[in-house]
Amino acid sequence: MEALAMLLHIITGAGLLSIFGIRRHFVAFVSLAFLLGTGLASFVPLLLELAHIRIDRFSVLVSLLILAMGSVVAGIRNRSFLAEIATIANLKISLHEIPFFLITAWLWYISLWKCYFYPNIPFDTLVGPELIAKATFFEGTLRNSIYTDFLTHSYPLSNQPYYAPFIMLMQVVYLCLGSLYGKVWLSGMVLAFFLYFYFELRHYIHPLLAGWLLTLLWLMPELYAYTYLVQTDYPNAIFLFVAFACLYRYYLAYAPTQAEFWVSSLFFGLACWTRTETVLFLPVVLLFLPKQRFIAKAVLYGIIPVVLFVAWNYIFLGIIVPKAIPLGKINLDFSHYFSRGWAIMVGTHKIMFDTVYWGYSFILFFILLLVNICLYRTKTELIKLSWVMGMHIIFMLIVLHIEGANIPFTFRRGFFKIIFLTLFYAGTSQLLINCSKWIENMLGSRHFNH
Amino acid sequence: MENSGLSQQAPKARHFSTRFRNTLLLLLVNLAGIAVIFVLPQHTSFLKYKVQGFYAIKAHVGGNSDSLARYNLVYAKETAIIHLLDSILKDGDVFLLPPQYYLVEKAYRTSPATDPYTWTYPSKFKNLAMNKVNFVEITYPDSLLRKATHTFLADKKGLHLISFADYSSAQKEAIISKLKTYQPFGFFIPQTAVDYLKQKKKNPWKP
Repeated sequence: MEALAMLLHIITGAGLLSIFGIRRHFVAFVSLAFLLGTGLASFVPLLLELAHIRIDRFSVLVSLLILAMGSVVAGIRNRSFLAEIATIANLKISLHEIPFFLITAWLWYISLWKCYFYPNIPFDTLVGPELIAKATFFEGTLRNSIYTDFLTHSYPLSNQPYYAPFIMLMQVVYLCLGSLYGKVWLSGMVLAFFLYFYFELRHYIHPLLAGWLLTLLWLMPELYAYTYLVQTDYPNAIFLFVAFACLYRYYLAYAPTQAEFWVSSLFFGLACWTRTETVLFLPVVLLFLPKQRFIAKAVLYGIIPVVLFVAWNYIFLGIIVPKAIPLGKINLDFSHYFSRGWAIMVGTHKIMFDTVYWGYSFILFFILLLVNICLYRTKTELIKLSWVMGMHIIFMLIVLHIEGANIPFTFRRGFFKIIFLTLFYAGTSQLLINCSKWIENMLGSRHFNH
Repeated sequence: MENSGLSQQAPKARHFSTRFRNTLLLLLVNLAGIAVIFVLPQHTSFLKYKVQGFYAIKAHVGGNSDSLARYNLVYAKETAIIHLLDSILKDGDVFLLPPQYYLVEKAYRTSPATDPYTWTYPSKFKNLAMNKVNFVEITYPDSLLRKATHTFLADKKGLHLISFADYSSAQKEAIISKLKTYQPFGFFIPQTAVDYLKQKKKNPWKP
C-alpha cells in the first residue's frame, strides 16, 4: 500500500508540474513530482477534517486517488509536454555517472531499512507529531482528545505537539494506509531529493563535480541520521532547497517563466507547512525577485507561504483546536545585546565548522567561497551568498528573540537548510562552472545542461 | 560506393572510440575522486561506524518480521511497564504517573547509565500507552489526584507497582504529598541524570 501511495504522489505531482510546464531531466522531473505530490498529500487529512469526513483508510485512499485522477486529467491535457519529458534524449545518463547512482542506492538502502524497520525514536517526534498522528488515526479526527483534553492539562509541556503539521499529517496518511510506523514516506522524499539535487546541479556544472557534491552530501553524519529519523528539519530543508533552486532558475532565465516562480512559491509554502519559523526567511528568498514590480512579485510569492502559516498556527490551532501554550513567544530583552549576539555567532560557527556533524562539506564550501569571491565578484554570486548569510543572520535573530530557540538543537538542525544552500552555492558557483567548461574542453563533449 | 561508405564509417568509428575513451577516462577520474572523498578521516569513520555497523545490526535483528519484536528493540522497557499496567488496572482504575525526579533519586543506577525514565514525560507516556492506561499526572489538581488507584514506588531494588486500595486514605495522601515535592520531569538523556545525582550527593538538598 505504501508503494501505491508513493506512485499516487508521483502521478499527482507530475500532473501539476505538467500544468506549470516545468522542464527537467526525466529523473529530476519524477523526483520533483514525488516531492510535490507528497506535499499535496499532506493536505488530505486536513481537508477531510474540514469536510467532516472520518479520517480512515478508505477516505484517505479515495482522496489520494481523487488527487491523482485530477492530475491524470491535467496530464492528458498536457500530454505533448509530458511526452517531451519522457524522451530517450531526456533520460540520458553517462557511464561515468553510474558510481554516483550506486553510492546513492547503497546509502539509501541502509537509510530505508532503518526508517522502515524501527519505530520513531526522536523525543521531539514522539511527544509531538507522532502523538497527534496516532490519536488522529485511532479517533479518526484531527480534533482529537490529545488537543482537546490531554494537552490542556498536561505538564511539562513544550511546543512539539504544535509543530507545523507536515510530518504529522504524512504519518496520519501512512498509518491509515496500513504502514506500521507510518514513516516510509521520508525515505521516498530522501531519494527524490538526492536525485533532484544531483540533476539540478548537473544542469549548471559537469556531472563529475555535481556527483562529488552529492557524495559529500551523503557522507554528512548528522544529515544522514535524519534521512531515517523522522523530524521536521530534513523535509523542511528539502522543500526549501527546491524553492531556492526554482527561484534561481527563474532569476537566470533570459525570458523568466512564471512557472518556476509559482513552483518555487509552492515549495516555500510547503517548507512553512513543515517548520513554522521558515516564514521568517521569506525576505532572504525575495532577493532574487526582479526589481521591476518587486513589491507585487514579493506579495504574490508570499501568498502561499503566509496563508499556510496563518491557516495552521492561527486558524487550526487556537480556533479549531485549543492551543494549550503560547507559541513563538518573542523575547525583547536587549540587555547585553551585542555580547549575547557575539556569543551566539561564536556558538553557531562552532556548529557550522564541526566536521563530526557535516564532514568536510562546510569547510570545503568556505574555501570555495573564498576562491570564488577572489576570482568572481558578480551580482549573482553576491545574491546567492546573501541567501546563505541572510539565513544565518535570521537564525541568530531567532535564537536571540524567540523563547526556547537555542543553538544546540534549533540551530544545529535548522542548519540543514543552510548546508543544502551552501552546496547549491558551490554547485552553481562561477568557479565550478568554469571548471566544468575546462573539463568539457579537455574531453570534448557536453554532458550537462538538461 | 563501398569504398566511400567505408571512408564515411572511419571517422564515425574514430569519433566513437574517442568518446568511449573520454567516458572511460571520466569514469576513472570519477572513481579516483570518490576514493579521495571516502578516505578522508571523518568519512572513513562515518563509513566504518554508521555503515559497516548497520550490517552487524541487520544480521542480528533483521530477521525479526514480527511488529512487536521490532517495536521492543527500542521500547522493551516501556512496553513491559504498559503491559503490566494494562493487565493489572481494571476499568475505572487510574494510574498516577510518578515524577521522574523521584524515580531517578530513589532507583536510578548510574553505571551503566541507561534511559532516565523518560517514559514519565506525560506526552511520551501517552504516546506509548495511548488508550490502554488511564492516568493522571502529579501536577493535576488534588481532586483528580484523589482518583488515582495505582502508582509506582521506588527504592534501590527498583520500581514497585502499588495499589492505593492496600493503603489507608491517610497513607495515600502522604504518598501523593511526598511525590508532589519532586519535580515532574527534567532529564532527557542519561548524562544529565548522572550529573544531577553526583551534584546532589555533594550538596544534599534540605527542605
